[in-house]
Amino acid sequence: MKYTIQPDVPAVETINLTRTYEALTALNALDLVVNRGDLFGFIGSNGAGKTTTLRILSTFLSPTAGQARVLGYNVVTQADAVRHIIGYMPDFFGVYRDMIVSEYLDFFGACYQIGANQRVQTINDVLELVGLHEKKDQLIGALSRGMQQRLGLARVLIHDPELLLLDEPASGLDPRARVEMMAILQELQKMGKTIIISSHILSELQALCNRVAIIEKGSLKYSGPIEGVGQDLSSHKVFRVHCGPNPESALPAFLEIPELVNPTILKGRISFTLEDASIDPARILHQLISAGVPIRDFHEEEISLEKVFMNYTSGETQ
Amino acid sequence: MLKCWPVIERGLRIMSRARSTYFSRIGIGVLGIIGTMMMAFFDARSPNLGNNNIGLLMFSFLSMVILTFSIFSGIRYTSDCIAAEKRNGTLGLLFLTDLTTMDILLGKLSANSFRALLNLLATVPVLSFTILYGGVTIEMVLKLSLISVNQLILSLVIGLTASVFQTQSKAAFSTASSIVVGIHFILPFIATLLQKHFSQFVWFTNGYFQAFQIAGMGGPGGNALGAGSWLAFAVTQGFVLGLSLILFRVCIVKLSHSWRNFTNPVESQPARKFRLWPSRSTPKPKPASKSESHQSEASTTQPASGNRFAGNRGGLRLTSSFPLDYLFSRRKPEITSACAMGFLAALYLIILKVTDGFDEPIAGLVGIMLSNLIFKWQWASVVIGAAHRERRDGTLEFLISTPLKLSTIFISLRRAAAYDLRYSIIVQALFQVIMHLIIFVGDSSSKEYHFWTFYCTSYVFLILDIAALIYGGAWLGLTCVNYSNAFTQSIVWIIGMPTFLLYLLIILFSSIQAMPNENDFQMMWLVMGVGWAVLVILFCKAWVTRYIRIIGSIPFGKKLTFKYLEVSRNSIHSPSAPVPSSNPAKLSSQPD
Repeated sequence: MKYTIQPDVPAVETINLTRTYEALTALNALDLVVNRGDLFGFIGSNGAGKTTTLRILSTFLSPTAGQARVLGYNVVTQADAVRHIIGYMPDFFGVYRDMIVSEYLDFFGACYQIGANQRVQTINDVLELVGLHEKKDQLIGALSRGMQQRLGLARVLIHDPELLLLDEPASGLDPRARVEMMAILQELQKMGKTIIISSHILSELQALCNRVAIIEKGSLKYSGPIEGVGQDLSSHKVFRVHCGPNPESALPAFLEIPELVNPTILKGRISFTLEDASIDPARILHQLISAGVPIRDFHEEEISLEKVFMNYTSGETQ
Repeated sequence: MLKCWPVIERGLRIMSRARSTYFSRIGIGVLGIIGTMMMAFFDARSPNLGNNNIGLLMFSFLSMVILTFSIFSGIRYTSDCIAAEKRNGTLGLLFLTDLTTMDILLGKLSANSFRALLNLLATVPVLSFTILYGGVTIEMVLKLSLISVNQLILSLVIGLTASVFQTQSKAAFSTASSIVVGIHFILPFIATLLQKHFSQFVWFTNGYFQAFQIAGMGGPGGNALGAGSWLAFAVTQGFVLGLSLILFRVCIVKLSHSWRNFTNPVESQPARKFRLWPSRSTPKPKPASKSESHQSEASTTQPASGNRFAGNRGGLRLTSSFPLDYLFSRRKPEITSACAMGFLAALYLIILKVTDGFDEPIAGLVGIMLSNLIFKWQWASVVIGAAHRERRDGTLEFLISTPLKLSTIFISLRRAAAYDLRYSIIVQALFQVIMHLIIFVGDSSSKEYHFWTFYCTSYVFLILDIAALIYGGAWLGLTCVNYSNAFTQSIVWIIGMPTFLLYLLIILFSSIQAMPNENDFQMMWLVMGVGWAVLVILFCKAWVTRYIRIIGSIPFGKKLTFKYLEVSRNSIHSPSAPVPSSNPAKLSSQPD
C-alpha cells in the first residue's frame, strides 16, 4: 500500500509528548520538530529519554499523553502508515543468524510486499550502498558486528522509507566502521532522506548533523541548527595565541591591552577572553604585532558539542 | 496473495538446512519399519493368530505410534517459534513490516505444520501394510488419519500458544507439555469419573476417547474404531478442532498486546537464582541491634555484598537461622519445581488407584521408569545449565581470577547443585518407594521377579545416577562449548541408560510371564530390542559427532586438572600482569 505524504508537513512533530513508566517520567512534555531532509542529532545522557522518543515515533511504544506525528501521520491512530514510511534501527536488534544476507533482505522485502523482481534490484542497490555487496551470499552469523550493523541499515532501507530513525547506529563499531557508517548516512541525506540519529559520540554528530536536540531527564534543553548550538555560550570569545617557545616574555604585552580579560599561559599558549563581541579580533592582533610579540598562531577556540552538552545538562539521570 | 507467505518461506528454508528435519523423518520411518518387521516376525512364529488378527495388531501398534507422535510432536516444532523471535529481538522488526499478527502466527504455524505433516506422512506406506494383512478397513485408516492430523494441529497450536506466552525455550516447551498433559490425560481422567457417576456424559466421553480407543483396542478382536458412528466421530473431531481455533485466537489477542515488550533481544536464559554455596569461612553476621533491626530485615532480601562467596546466596543473607529464613522466603523455585513433580507423581498414583483393571506392577514399574527420566532431565538441566552459565556469562573468568582454588569452584558448583535439587531428589525417592510398595501389594508374585535384588539395585542405581549427574553435570557444564537441550538429553540418556535398561528388562520380564506363549514373546522383544538399540546408536552417533569437541576437551588423566580453567587462569595470571591479592600463597596453589 502506498501512503501519500503531504509536501508541507514536517518529518516529525511532537506536541507535549509524555511517557511515564509508573513513577518514572521518561518523557516530559516534549515539543520537537524535525524538518524534512534534516540529518538530526538526538543527544542526551543514558536514561534521558532518547530511545523512548524513538520508540514512540516508530510505534513501538504508546505515549502516555501528548501526540506525535510522523510525516503528518499520527503514531497512535495511524500506526500502519507510520510503520510503512519509516525505517527504524533499534540500539540492540536481532538478526536471523541462520539466513544468508540476501535472503534476509529478501525476506523483509517480501514482508513489505515489494514485488519479487523489484526486490532483486533493491537488494543489490542497498547492499551496494552499505558496502555489503560482496557478502551477499554469506551467512549472517558469520558476519562481524560492524557488518551486522550495516545489514541492519540495509534492512531499514529495503522499503525506501522517507524517515530513518537510528538509535545508536555506531555503538560497538570500531573507528573505521563508524566513519564508514557516518559516510553512508551523509549519502542517504543527499538522497533526500530525513534521518534522526541518537548517539553518544558527539564529535561525530557535530560533523554530521545539520540540526541537533539535547534532551535531559525527558525534557528538551535545546533544539535547533548545529551552528547555533553554542550561541548562548559564545557571548564571550576565547582566543589562543602561540608566541614561540617562551610565552612568558610575551605575556606583559597582553596584559597591557585593557579589552583582554584574564590572559594566562596554558600549555605553551597564551589564552585570553574577549567579553565584548563587538571588538574586532583583527585589531587586537595588530596591536600585539605592533608590540613586538612573535605571533605564530592566533585563533578563536571553537565551542565543541561536548562543551555545549556539558553546559546544557547537569548529568542527572532518571 | 498470502501475506504470510514470506514467513512460511523463511521457516521452510531454515528447516531445510536443519539436520534434525531429515533425522526425524528417517527416525519415524525406521520406527514404523521395525514395528512392521516385529509384527511380521510375530506372524511367522504364531500361525494360530490368523492374518486378520495380525493386521489388527499391527494397526494397533502403528496407531499408538502415530497418535503419540501427533499429540507430542507438534509442541516440539512450534513451542519455540515465537519465543525465539522474542529472544532474538526480531519480533518487533516483523511487526514494523506490513505483516499483521495473524500473518505472523499463521506463517509460523503453516511452516511448522508442513514439517510435522511430512513426518506423519512417512508412516502412511507402513500403514497400508495393515490393510493388505486384512482385518483393517479403509474406514479405520481414514479415521485414524483424520484424528492424527487433527491432534497434530491441536498440538501445534498448543505449542504456538505456549510460545506466545513464554520467552525462554525451556519454559515454552514445559508450558506446552503441561497443556498437552492437561488436555489428553487430566480431561480424559475427569471424563472417566463423569462417565462412572453420570451416565448422560457417555456421549462426550465416548467421543472424546475416540482417538484413544484406537490405541486401547490393541489385541485381537478389538474393532472400536470401525464400530464408532461417523456422527460421534465428527462431534469429537469438531471439539478438538474448535479447541485449536480458540487457542489460535488467544494467540492472536495475546501477541497483539504483548509484542512491544519484546522489541529488543532478551537474555537467552533467565538469571539463575541460585549461586555458589558460601565458603566455610563465611563469618556469621553480628546480631543486629534494635535500632538496626529494620535494616537487617531489609538485608534479608537484598544481596549482602557483591561477593557471591560472602554469604550471599540467592539474594539472601545467610544467618544462623538460614534454613528457616530460606524456607519462608518467597524465592524458592526448587520447592515449586519439586511440588510440581510431586503433583504429577500424585496424579499418576490417583489414576493408578481409580482406574479399573490397571495392572499395578506394570503401571508401577512404568511410573518409576518415566519419573526417573523426567527427574534426571531436570537434574541434568539444572546442573549443566548452572555450570555452563558461569562460563557463558563470563563470570567464570572472574572466579578463576580470584585466589580461590579451582577445585573449590568446582566443589562449590556441585554443592550448590545438590542443594538446589534436594527437594526434587526427595520427591523422586519417595515416589519410588511408594511405587515399590504398590507393586509389592498389588502383585503377590513379585518375589518371582527377584524382588529384593531388583529393588535394592534400583535404589543403588538412583544414588549413582544422582551422583553422576551432579558430578558429571557440573564438570561438563564448565568444560562444554555449547549447551542446549539436546546436550542435556543426551547426557540423561547416557547416564540414565543402565537404570532405564534395568527397569525395561524387569517390565519385559514381567510381561513375558503374563503372556501365553513365552518363547514367541521373548523373540518378539528381542527383535524390538535390537531395533531400539539400532535407533539409539544412530542418534547417539549424531550427538557424539556434534559434541565431539566437548568430549575431546575433557581432560582424562590421573588428576582431574581442568584444561579450560588452567588455560584461562594462565592467560589471566600472565607474568606481565600479576594478580593483586591479599593472599599470594593461594595463587600458586594448583587444583587438586
